[in-house]
Amino acid sequence: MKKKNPTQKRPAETPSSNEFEPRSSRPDDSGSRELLLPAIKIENLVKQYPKSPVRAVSGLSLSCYPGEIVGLLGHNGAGKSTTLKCITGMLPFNEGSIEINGFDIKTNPVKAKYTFGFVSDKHDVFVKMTGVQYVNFMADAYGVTTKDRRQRISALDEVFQLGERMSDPISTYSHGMRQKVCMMGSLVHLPKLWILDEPMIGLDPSTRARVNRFMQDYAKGGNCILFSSHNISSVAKLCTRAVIISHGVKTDDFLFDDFLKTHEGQDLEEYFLSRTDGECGEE
Amino acid sequence: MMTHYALLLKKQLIDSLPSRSKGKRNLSGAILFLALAAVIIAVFVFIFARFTRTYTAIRIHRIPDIPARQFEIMTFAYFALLIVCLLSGVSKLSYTLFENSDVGVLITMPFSSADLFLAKLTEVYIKQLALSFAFVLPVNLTFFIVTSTVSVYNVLMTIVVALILPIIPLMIASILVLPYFFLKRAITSRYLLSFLTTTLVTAAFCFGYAYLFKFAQNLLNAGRLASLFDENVMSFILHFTKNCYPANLIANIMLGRELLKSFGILAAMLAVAILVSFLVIRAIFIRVTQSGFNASVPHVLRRPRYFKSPRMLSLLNKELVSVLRTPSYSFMFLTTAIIMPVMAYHSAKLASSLLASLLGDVNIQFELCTFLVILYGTLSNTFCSTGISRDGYMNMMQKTLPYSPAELLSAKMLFSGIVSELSIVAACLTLFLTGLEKPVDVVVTFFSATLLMIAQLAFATRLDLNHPNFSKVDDGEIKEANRTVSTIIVLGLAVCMLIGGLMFLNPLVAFSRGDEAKTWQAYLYALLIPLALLTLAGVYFFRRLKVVFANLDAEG
Repeated sequence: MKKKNPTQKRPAETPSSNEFEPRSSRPDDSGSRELLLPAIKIENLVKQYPKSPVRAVSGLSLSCYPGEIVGLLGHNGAGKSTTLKCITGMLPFNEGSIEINGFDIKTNPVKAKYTFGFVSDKHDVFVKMTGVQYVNFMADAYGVTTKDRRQRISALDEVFQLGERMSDPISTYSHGMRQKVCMMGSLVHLPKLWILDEPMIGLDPSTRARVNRFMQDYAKGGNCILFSSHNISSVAKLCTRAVIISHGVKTDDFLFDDFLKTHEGQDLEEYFLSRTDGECGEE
Repeated sequence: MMTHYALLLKKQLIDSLPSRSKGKRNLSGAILFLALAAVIIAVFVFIFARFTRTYTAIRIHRIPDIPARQFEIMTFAYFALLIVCLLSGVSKLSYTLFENSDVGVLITMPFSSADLFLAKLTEVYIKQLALSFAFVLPVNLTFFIVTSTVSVYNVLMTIVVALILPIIPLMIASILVLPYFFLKRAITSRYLLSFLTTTLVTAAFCFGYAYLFKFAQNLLNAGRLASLFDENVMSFILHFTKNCYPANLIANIMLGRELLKSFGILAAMLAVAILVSFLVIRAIFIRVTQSGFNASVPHVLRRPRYFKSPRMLSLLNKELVSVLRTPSYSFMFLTTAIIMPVMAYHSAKLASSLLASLLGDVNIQFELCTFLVILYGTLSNTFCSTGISRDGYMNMMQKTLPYSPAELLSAKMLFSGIVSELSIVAACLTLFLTGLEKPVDVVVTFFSATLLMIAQLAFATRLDLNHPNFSKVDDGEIKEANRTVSTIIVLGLAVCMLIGGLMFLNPLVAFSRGDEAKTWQAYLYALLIPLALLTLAGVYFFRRLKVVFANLDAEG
């Protein structure tokens, strides 16, 4: 039996959700934003690793909406990567619930996974494949047609510019090139939600600029982007919203427009340090 | 203060030790290793003792010359060990000098290239010593006992020879290591060539193995062995041993012949070998290291082809690419699967003629062939016990893709199953076409091996899922057998012995009573035991599968 593919249609081609998006106010304060189906809806997430005495994530609740670029900020070991791994179904969690585009990741994992693309912070994974084989593998996993994948890969290559190197084994790629091909693979099905773990590390400045532009355009198309980062300036430049996590607990969640209004003249880095007690924990 | 050399040597030795993580000891692997080593040594001692007795009795022109024959035996034995040490030394040196990533860090530190090289050379020498002692002790002790020449001198010299024997091959290895490394790099970056080469080498090894079997068979009949050593062969042996340096010098020392001359020439050879190898390596080592020695695949301009494949086929293709592009995996899995029918055929042919000479007219062809096919099938299929582990972090990435655990695991099992099934079919066809098995028998052999193979796949995959052993190296390649692999081998051998034992018991008991053996009983054992094991493995595989898969954590 042929499975229904929730991303068969381009998110941008679905009835546009832009008209429902007030971009100038906090989601919590806005009644209109709640009319949208959240791309991510996390309620009271608790994750504790089997051999650890402490919770990696403790009671985290978070909703991200189409059109948003959300930066997940926190020091090393704050729980950013663990949160992303729970969202993507990489790791099981102890308490709470996670819905991705309306599908529960625990009870309906396959449908939920059709609707997002994930870029891990580890890129040394499918190194035996060539770039072409990897992107084909990812497109096959999401059931992308031959015609669609050709068009999309061609468009993505404009951004990531791997060109002929796509025919080479990934094992011969540099760190940055591996990251680019992982990004291409995660976007080949045009996910409604794009999740990235530390995406900017290892990218050269020109690629970073192109990726920034691409992310902004992608979000404008009615898609949601969630990424973790240490880099406060890149988050400030790119994101519409920031969520700060410290010791597995959400300590702040604000829209950048609001931040600029309410904290006029305050340096974002200083603010970040104040919200994380200035800690520099270890992974 | 510890010298740089001592510091580096300490680091090398610590790196060489197996990891001592708590609760992760590969006990079954250690038992398997010791058992196999004991069996190999026991078989070797038995054959070598028998050979020594037979060979020393050979007469040329009807004149016996026991000291000359003893010298020839010892020369050949040490020559064989020198060759083994040379091959092993080249491989170990290549890894430690050029393939181990620590060199990239160490050359940036204030160590001289001489210290670095000497420390690595010493580490390999220490490893070679284990090989040397494992070989020299059984050879010498067996020889002295058989020839009744046990003495304090011989025992002391055995230790001295074991200590110095690895030095010369290691020095030659240090000169050959660079060409070997470049050759290896050239071959391993061409995956298909690498696969074909290893398959051909293994096939050659397989024929050598068959030849050794025949030799052992001839050895059981001393007259047949003696006839092999005719005048021409003996003339060649005399000529070869006379010029086979330094093996003949070591043989002389062990036999107490021409001691001064032998020690002198050996010492001179050692000095020259050490000097030349040190100069050569010192000249090239750092330069090669700095020139960047990671295997590179030449860029070939190809037009990218993007096309849709069925989801399951895409997963199977991922498995194939992973195996084909990792030389050690393609050897462990594809090469052994290809070689398995050849091994089964040779073993069946030799064992049937051996058993015919021992037992006469007892018809145990079906039992023998089935036992060999399930035995080799089980051994060649052990690759499936790393299905989860060898994917490393890829498992985690695949968990984020829209595949169910059943789809992901069944793709791994299907891939292993297809290759193993083809191997079983080829083995059965070979046995049938060469007349070693009858049509009905071969069908039962096929089903027995298939049922056992599926049971092994299910059990091994689940065991690996429960206790994955992820590699810590960059590309996640698993370079040594883990607990799961050892457990699967031990259990596989035990099951094969059980089925084989029960099957053989039936005709042997009937033979001792002078009755006709009942073939249907052997059929029942061959089919029902694998079927029962498959049922058990199926229950084990599906029990809490989703929960265990969800908990799989490549970083935990």
